Amino acid sequence: MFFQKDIETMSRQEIEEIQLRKLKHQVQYCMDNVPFYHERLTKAGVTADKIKCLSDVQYIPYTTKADIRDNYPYGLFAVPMNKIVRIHASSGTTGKPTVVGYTRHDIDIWSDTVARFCAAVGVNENDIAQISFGYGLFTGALGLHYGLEKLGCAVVPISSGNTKKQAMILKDFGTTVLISTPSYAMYMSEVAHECGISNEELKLRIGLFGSEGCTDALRDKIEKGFGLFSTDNYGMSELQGPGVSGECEYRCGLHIAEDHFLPEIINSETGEVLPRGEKGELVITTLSKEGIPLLRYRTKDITRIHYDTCKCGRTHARMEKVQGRSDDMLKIRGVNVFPSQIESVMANIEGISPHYELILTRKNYTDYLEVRIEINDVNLLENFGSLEAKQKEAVDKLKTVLGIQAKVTLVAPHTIQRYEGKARRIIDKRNEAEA
Amino acid sequence: MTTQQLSIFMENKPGQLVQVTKTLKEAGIDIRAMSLADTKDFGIVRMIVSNTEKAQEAMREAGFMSTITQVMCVAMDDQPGGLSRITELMAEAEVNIDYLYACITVIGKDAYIVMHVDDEKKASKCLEQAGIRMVGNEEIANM
Repeated sequence: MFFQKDIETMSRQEIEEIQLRKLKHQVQYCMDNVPFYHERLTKAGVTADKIKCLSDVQYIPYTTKADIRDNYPYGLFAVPMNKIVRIHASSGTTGKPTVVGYTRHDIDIWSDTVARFCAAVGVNENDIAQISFGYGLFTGALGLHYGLEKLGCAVVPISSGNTKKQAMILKDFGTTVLISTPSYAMYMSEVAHECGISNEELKLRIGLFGSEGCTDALRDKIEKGFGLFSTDNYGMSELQGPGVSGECEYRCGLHIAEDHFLPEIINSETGEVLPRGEKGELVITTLSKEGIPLLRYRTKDITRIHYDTCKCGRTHARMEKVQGRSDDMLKIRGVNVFPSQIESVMANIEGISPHYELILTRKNYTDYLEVRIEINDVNLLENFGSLEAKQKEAVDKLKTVLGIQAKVTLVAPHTIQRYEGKARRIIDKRNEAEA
Repeated sequence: MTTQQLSIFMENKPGQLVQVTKTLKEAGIDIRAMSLADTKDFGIVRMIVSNTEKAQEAMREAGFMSTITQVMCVAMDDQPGGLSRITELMAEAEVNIDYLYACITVIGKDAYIVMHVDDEKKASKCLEQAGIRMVGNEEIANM
């Protein structure tokens, strides 16, 4: 199903014509309305006229999260406040949050791009959509809210938390589409089943999970747990929020809304632009933003982009599921480890729950990784050997995938923290003073 | 004849066993036999209690994972050679004992052991033939 079929299936040539026209406009717009960009572009000698083809984008300097923070709160806004109708901010885990403003037009485009990925998995006006993302400054909830309303769904803005009530409403309201983080969906299915609600009593058919990474293995578990089909979507508040890209029913990459976002892949260490098809850091230039336009924004997300037409008929390029934010990558004893790798190992071990916790410590200048996993199969209690075997299986599988020896601790069910929003599974104590 | 044993998963950290015993105390459960091996990170507490289902429910509510397994509770003479008689019988019948522990309760001349074997039918048969008594849940509840 399509929301804007003519746009989503236009030829590569048409896409690129639109992108070039909009890119020139966006550069001029930034030059005229954002002092920060006026200075940057002038210094780099870039003007809208000098951009003759899409690859000329490489002459524009990158924008980073630090640039947004340095101009906190409104320094990068391109319009006066009387044109701004919404302000969101990303969770500032370190320092000040990054603030973004939307004009009415920005909200309109945002809802379009969200409606596209929702329609792409079959969501339609008959659906009842329960939004279990936390409402607030975070873009996830309201982004999905507006997009789903635009599609004509009945939106249930329950927000996150109060999981027993969530489960009750899933059942009583006949919710057909669930919107949450993958970890919260997992938790909610546990709670629903504990409350005696079976999948047969639910009308759930689609899950739109986002805002944190999710391995295929974890997705399978959630889908089985709830008996639904789910897709992944991608975005970040700096760029607008969800809707930058999203999967279609074939789930072979996330279609980027290329009429609004120009993607590039770069080497995150050298900043060099990589040829099409290579893996690297995703850089996005917004093409339609009025409130806070961003030129070549470094997402820190590692992916690869495919430009061939998808089986679904969409021509918009597909980015691979983000393996991990370059910020999330852990360096353990010099080895690069993405938490998603650990998650995929855990999800493939029988008899344990998908909830886990990573604890990093340092002793005598050496890093130690402890992985805490919950057992949830009572049969393991028949004899001690099977518990030990389970522990060894986890150690061995982690060693195979990560190449490092981890300590695996088996813990009792429900002892690992559950999350109603983004899961925080990593406890890094390496910079704490040694005990 | 077999009897129900409750096996509880426990992490090896301070305060864990207290949680278990306190939960049972609050549920009014008597412990008839108990075994806990020394382990590094985690262990399994096995016990024979006065009311297994009630105990399991209480453990579940307290957040513990547990399972009920069928084991044999064997009465033996409380005198030198009592246990040896049973192990000899098992050896003769070529039955392997997976684990074994003793009951806390002694009634009159009877002591009791709990054991889990690889072939329960064979074990029961040879114990019966030797005139050795096995105890079921009902009797345990009334001990």
